[in-house]
Amino acid sequence: MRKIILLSICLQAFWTTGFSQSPPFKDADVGIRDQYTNLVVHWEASKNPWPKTLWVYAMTPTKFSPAVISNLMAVTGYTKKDEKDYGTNGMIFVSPEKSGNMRISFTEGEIEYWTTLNYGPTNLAQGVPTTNQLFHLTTNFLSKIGIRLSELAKDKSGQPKIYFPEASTEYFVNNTTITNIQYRMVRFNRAVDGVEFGGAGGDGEVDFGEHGQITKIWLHWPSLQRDKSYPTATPKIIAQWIREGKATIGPAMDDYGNEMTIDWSKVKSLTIKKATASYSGEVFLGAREHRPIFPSWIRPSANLWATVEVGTKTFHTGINCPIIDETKP
Amino acid sequence: MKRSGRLTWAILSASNAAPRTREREMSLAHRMWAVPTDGSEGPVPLAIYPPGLDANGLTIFAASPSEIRSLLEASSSERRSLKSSFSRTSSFAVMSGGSFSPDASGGGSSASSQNSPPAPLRPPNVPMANSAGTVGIAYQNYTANGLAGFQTPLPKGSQGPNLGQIQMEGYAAASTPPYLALRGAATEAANFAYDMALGSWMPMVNLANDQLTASALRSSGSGNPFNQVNIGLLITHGVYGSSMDFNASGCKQMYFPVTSGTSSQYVRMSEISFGGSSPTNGLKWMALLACSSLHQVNWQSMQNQNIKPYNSNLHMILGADTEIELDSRTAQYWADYMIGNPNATPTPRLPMPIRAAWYQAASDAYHFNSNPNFVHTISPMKFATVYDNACQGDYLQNQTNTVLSGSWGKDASQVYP
Repeated sequence: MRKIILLSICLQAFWTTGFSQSPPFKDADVGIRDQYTNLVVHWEASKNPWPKTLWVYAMTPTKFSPAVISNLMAVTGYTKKDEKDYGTNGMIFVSPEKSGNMRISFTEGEIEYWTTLNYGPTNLAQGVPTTNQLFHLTTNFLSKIGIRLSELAKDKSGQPKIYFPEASTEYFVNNTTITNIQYRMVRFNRAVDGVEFGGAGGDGEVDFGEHGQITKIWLHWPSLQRDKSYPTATPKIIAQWIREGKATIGPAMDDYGNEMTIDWSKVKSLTIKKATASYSGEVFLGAREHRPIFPSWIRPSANLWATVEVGTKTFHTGINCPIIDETKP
Repeated sequence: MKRSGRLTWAILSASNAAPRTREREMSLAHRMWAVPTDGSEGPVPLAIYPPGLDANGLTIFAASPSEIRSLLEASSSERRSLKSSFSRTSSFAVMSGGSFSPDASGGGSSASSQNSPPAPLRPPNVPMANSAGTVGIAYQNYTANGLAGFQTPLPKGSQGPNLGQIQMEGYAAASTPPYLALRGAATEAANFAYDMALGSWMPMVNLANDQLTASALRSSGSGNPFNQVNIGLLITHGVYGSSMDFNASGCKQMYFPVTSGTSSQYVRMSEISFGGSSPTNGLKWMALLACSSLHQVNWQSMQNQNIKPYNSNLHMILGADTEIELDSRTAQYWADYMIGNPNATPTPRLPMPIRAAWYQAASDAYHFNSNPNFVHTISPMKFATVYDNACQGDYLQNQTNTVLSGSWGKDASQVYP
């Protein structure tokens, strides 16, 4: 961890000294991260939008209990003979009798299961649960894999925030459209210290197909260990960090959702309308797939919804900003 | 925030191009190099560029120093042909140009052989399966007009004089949407090419900006560059029409603004015919990473009028039902999921079907904008696929085994939130 902090210090020093006299740079694909030295930042969001301190967490190996493994096998229909054991790393289940597989990674704290059923216009899915059955099905499933409802992010009413994205299939037969709901999706996020995960390391999806049969599990729920605690930035500091170019500002939209180009030299002010904190970890895909899993950290950041005032016009944008300074634990 | 339909391509990825490529350099024993897409300069280490560089106009690729030496040696002796290969094949010319040995041990072969199948560039620690297949990638980044973007002239609703112009989604009649820069497009394409190459899928067609022409996209058969590869990825803006197009039996359909220099024109989806007949290099799967490229209502309208942007060789088109944001990792994750990684540690990742991988990749990209995770301004986002009903479970690995049914289906899946 110390190395990371040192690196962070070095990088920060490089960025501030190396680029303070240079023209602002733009990331190739990360939104805009410029310095706005004279930008006026108004804060209309909650004055205390997040806890006064937040932790950086270290990911540690996850121990899914034999009971959890057994329940997963029951839910997915795999048996012991379908299992390929990778020791303390995890296991994979594959069966010649069905498509897909189930990958349980102890290292990454992941359960990934999927299977496909070939439906068609004359073979529609039957008995797929209705939306109002999904909450109960989900909580029932989570209890089987050892996830307590208290671990889930909550909505404003304090209930577990479980939401139901849409998915449907349509077949075109003789100018007639036949709609088929093959499964219904459920998604949920984890929360730690009252802060919801906005990225990897704490999210789940479960798809319920015919007669409530689970057709997909995509769960990233690693064991976490507190590493270091940091004071969180106040609105004033967040504003300063935005001016200093430490935040990433997304594209600007007009009231109709059209992306607009902003000449930041003409921006009068930026107003933060809503502010939340979120945690996120690493995605073990792409380049990250080829490096050792550990060490890996879960870090908090600030998500800001803002308006940008340019002349008489107002645009909307999203901003991601650091929320802690890891050089100052 | 109200959004009334106009396509919005945002460049939001939290994937930092430069740090990511540095990771590759460390982990794969390859350096990342950059070369201007116009071939005007030789390759230089990517590391000399500052963090957060705008990658547009650059080819970014991985190669060992010995491979670069070989390339430069070939360049000095065959400078003319090499430059032509860069400008002809675009951003990933080095990956696709057959310049390098399949082993990462260096000692590349001549760069002059454009007709022979190129060897994929791969790291030494990821053994490749036996021959996989071929990939075609094209993107446009809409930067030629700077911040102003492109105001593509609206297509006419018919050849007749009285029907006016096609009205685009949410826009007043005779108003064309502005198409701003897709600054992440080059990175998206490079990421996809790289990870497909890791899986032994060779980027054979690589077209950047003006190298992709409207006429080529409209061409049928082998005239369409995508029809010469197994799987294609096209990254552009996209928009759906909200009025009938009597150039295509009165259906409502989708349109893709294709640039040439500082001008642009719409390519109608009805003008395209994806699908290649070659059993080895014919197009089977085509991804249109563009807003509303498979907009439900218009796709249905096209189907009702028997307007098909595919021929009897195509298995599947993958796209988006709604406006989407451009995240430079979507296609890369798609490649990762399709190919799988039997050597992943600690536990292998098995290949996913092409369609399922498309949805999962998008979901991951939009949900896992880690470090920093981003605030999405388009919500919800839905991805979609249309497919021959016999092909909905296609894997990359079983490309030649499917017998087509002739009837097509479509599904859509919300990938964010």
